[in-house]
Amino acid sequence: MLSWLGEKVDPTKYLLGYALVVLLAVSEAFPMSLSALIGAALLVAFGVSDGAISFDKALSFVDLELLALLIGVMVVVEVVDRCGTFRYLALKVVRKALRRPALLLIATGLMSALTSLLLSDEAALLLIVAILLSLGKAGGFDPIPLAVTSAIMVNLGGTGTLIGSVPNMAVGIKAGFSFPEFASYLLPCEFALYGVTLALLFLYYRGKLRLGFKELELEEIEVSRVDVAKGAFLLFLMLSLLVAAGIAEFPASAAALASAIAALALSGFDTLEVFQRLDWDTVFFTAAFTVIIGVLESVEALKGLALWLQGAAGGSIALASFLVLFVSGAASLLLPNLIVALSFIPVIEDLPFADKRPLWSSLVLGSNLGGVGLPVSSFVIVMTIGALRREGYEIDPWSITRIGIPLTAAWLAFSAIYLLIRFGLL
Amino acid sequence: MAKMEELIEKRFKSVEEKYREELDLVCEALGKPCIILHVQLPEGCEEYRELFEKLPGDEEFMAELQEFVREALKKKAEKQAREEAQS
Repeated sequence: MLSWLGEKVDPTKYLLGYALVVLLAVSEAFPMSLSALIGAALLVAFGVSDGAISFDKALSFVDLELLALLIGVMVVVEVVDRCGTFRYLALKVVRKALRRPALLLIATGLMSALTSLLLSDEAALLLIVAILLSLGKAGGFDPIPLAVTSAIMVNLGGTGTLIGSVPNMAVGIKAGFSFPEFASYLLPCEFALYGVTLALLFLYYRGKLRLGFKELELEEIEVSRVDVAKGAFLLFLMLSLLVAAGIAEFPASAAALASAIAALALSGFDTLEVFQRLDWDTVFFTAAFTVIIGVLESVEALKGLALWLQGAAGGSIALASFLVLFVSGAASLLLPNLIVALSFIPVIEDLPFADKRPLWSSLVLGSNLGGVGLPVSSFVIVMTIGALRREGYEIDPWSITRIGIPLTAAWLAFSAIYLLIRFGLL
Repeated sequence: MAKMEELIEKRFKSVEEKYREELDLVCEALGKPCIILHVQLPEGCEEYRELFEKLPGDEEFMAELQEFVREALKKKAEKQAREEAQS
């Protein structure tokens, strides 16, 4: 990249700035958003002083469509969460399966994954773990296998839809995937992975599930049926609008914003309270990190990775997809998956393949599935350990790694086979 | 290992309030209303901080607390009934 002074811009300091942001984010020295804002300020200052970009250009790197989709979905999910719809459904399902340990593991796992398809991973996990721990104490069963299953399934859930996770939104928008299109590429893989994972977890935990269950006095679930129905309707509305957006070819972000406005207007909840509870750390992080990536692209700092991938794949889309899948999967073992997804997007854009659907799908799978390998890389695992300990259950963090690493390897291997079949890469 | 424990504690603390809220909502939905009490470490017990932080997970302590609450509620109800009868 040549600056306006006609000199070639050396990308080294930009890459060092990027590395600093990643380090700050991983070390949690600051909140994620502040780490990214510091990095964005630094890289924009480098870019402007080198004449590589203007300040206006830097502002244009903020992906408004992504932010609109993210905030729209967050508002709807917050309103639905307040309606208690997920709590009611999860309680119904878990209580139905309460006296049959194997069924309970499967029901809990499925409920966790399906809840996290729509709720954030954090909200989904807190809900399921709170249910398991409150029923576990009263029912005298060991909640550890069920809570760990929940954490793993929450991490898995949300891979298959455009709104399932923030990396999905970022990749989906860049790839130009509509909601139905995204689901058609990735949802079958996610559902198949549910089956594989639950089977493996059942085999692993079956000895620990045969504990005597106390008879529980099950009272009626006390929630407002009107609120539960309202939440279900708002979810249905959002999903319908997202599908309609795909068919009528208007942006998913518009559908999400329309759903958010409807949710705020129809729910009767205090709008400002809803706004206060949104995950602004993720919103600001996403905005700032898209600026960082924009600056890196402007000075062609990520070109090296694209060239390496291109060379290693040797023109084969199957090999390039596998590389994206495994490299992004391995990277998200150590790094937050949003950093991995946002960093890989320009690399895929640079690859010279006409049909990039397998590559985008590989990135979604890789960045979503790498999260449970190590406790440090997975917020849901850490939350599960913390909640179990607060309730007096002792759990060794590395015991989850012993399950997480082989599971991640199995997921990635399964996904590679899925990609071969789904996109006819054989 | 110590670093890992520190990280787990730090991260969980950032969501602990939300977790307690969720736990209360679940208890309430199950017909068992909860109240949240913020109890400070009593003065002079600074050296027992670690034990203090483990109390919410201590079943024996929770059973004693439950008994204490039961007795307190009975006393309050009796007092209220006496006052109502007098007035």
